[in-house]
Amino acid sequence: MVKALRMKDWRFSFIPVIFGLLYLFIYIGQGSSHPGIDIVLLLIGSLFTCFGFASFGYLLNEWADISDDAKAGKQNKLAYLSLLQRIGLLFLTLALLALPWLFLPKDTKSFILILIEISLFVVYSLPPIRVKNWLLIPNVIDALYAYVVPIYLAYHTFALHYGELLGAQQRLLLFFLLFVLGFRNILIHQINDLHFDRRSNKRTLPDFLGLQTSNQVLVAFLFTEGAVLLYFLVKVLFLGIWPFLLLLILCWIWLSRRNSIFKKPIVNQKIVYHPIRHLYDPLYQLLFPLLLLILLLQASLYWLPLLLLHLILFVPFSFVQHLVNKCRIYLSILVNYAIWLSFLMIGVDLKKRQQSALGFLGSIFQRK
Amino acid sequence: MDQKSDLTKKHLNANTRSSKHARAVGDFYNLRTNDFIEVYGEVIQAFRTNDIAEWLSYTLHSMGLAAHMNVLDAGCGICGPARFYAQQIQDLQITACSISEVQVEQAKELNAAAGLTERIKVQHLDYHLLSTAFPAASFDLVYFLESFGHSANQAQLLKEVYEVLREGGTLYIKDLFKAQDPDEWKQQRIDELCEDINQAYHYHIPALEVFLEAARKCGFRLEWVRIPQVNIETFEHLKISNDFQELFEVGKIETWSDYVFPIDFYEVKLIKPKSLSPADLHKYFMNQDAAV
Repeated sequence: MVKALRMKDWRFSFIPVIFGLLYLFIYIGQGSSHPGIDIVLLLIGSLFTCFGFASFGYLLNEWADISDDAKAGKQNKLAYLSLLQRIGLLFLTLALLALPWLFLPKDTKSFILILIEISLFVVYSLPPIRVKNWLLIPNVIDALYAYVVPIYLAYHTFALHYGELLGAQQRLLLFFLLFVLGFRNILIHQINDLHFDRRSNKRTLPDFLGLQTSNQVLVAFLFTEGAVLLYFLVKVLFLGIWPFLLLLILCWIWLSRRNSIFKKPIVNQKIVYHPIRHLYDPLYQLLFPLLLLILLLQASLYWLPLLLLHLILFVPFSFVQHLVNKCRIYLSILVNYAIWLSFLMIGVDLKKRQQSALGFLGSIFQRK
Repeated sequence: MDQKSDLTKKHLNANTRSSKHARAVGDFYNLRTNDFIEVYGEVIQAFRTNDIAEWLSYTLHSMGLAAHMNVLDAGCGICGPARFYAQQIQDLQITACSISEVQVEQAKELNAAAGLTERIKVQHLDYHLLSTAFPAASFDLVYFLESFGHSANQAQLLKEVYEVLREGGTLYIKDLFKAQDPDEWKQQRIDELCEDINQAYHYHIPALEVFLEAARKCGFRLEWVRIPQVNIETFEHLKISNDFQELFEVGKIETWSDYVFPIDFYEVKLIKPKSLSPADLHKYFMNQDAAV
């Protein structure tokens, strides 16, 4: 039943982006003070309402897609559930979405934003409007409900708690960036689903634009996003803490290499299926939140449980495992070199002798 | 070290793109041959039927192997097919070459165990060097069984084969060729998937039309090109391919609903035409063999 909520589709994609920005708001608002119960409640409330919004949106979309998916031969997990189960899930997600607002900071603007978000879900998925089958509009709406509106709501909630956190220009820049990110992601999603959509007689933006133009649009979006992102990172966030910016960029390059972004040649000069189309995603989804958590930890060690919770909830286990293994390898190199150098200082070259430190010490004691 | 090995070394040391690629293919098979054997057995080919003997028997007839022929197995793997052919046809003399030292060693051991050392001569050789390694017109038939695509310079390779084939000799290639689709999106996916395969297996999947143009420019006459004529019921289950895709992390087939098959398997038979004497030139028409 839980599979019908398609958690895998959002737990590691746009939810970590939202949380990365929540950590930014906390970092700006909190300064170097320890986290209090108020901020813990704020984070717990945000977590539940985020899960609620995401599940509700996906559930509604999946429900409205059942007949189209059947035509396209695409799997729809909700189709296997009874009507009663579907209604039960719908109420559950609505409760998850709404209940945290009993104690989260709110005002009229908060309710308007919640209403806009839910309206966008409805307009996108449900008949009679169902803009999902229109051209261009679904891309705009998707970018709005996946990134712009929820993050604006999050910003507003935290601003109610801390006071205004970003200047008007910075906010404009941030929401423009989020819109471009959202548009790019839905365009990629439509490219991936193109053949399914055709089977259900649905014509999405990339199909309408054609391969060449879609590629140009994707490239233009990547460049725009890159420029705004760079400006945002350098001027707004890390002006005074450039070593962290450097760390972020180094980790980003390492991750991009790991994801074969630079390894695979660009075929026919098109990036529509190339991993480079996801160039910035590791930055938003993985590195940016983790770096913000490190910055918070630097201010107060009380943030450690939040880092652990973030790793459990929003970082794929395979990545954590990979990271731990890498750390173990580097640590072992470090320890081994330290031992080798220590013995070298007393005139013993363990490498030349092809002996371990313990083996060498053992042989000395045996001789004695 | 014999003279031919020296030649290979010299060629491999030459700083050309083709020889660098050839060395990379050699290293790849040195490292991965045992993995291939684990999945495929002694016949390292992706296109195959469930009954491998039946499949090899098909290729034997398809390429036209016959007694007393002197043939070259270019990119022989561990000589699985060569041993089968030698066992089926008496007096068949096979020269086999591989760029992988590991494959050459394993092939020699297996050939010796089968008592075929004299009839299958295995050499460590870059097949781009055929004309340097063998006298002109040495072979009646040259065959490539899913090995032609490892060449980074296929036009050059065809020239080399042309040199070592006798007049009227046959070039038989069974390989994967890039699929073509009228839909631009599907074609892009095909091209991307082919690129993934090329990278993972050090391959250069040829486009059929490009290959045919190069072969004809070389002087070959096309006898036929066709899909291997095997009963689809006996076609190897894709599990074997998936096992391998998993090993190399290249496009495992999870579901058929959105799968685009990026390649077509074809077998191609080409003939090196016989020279006609001036007196016979008027006999030249579509099928030269019939004319002479």
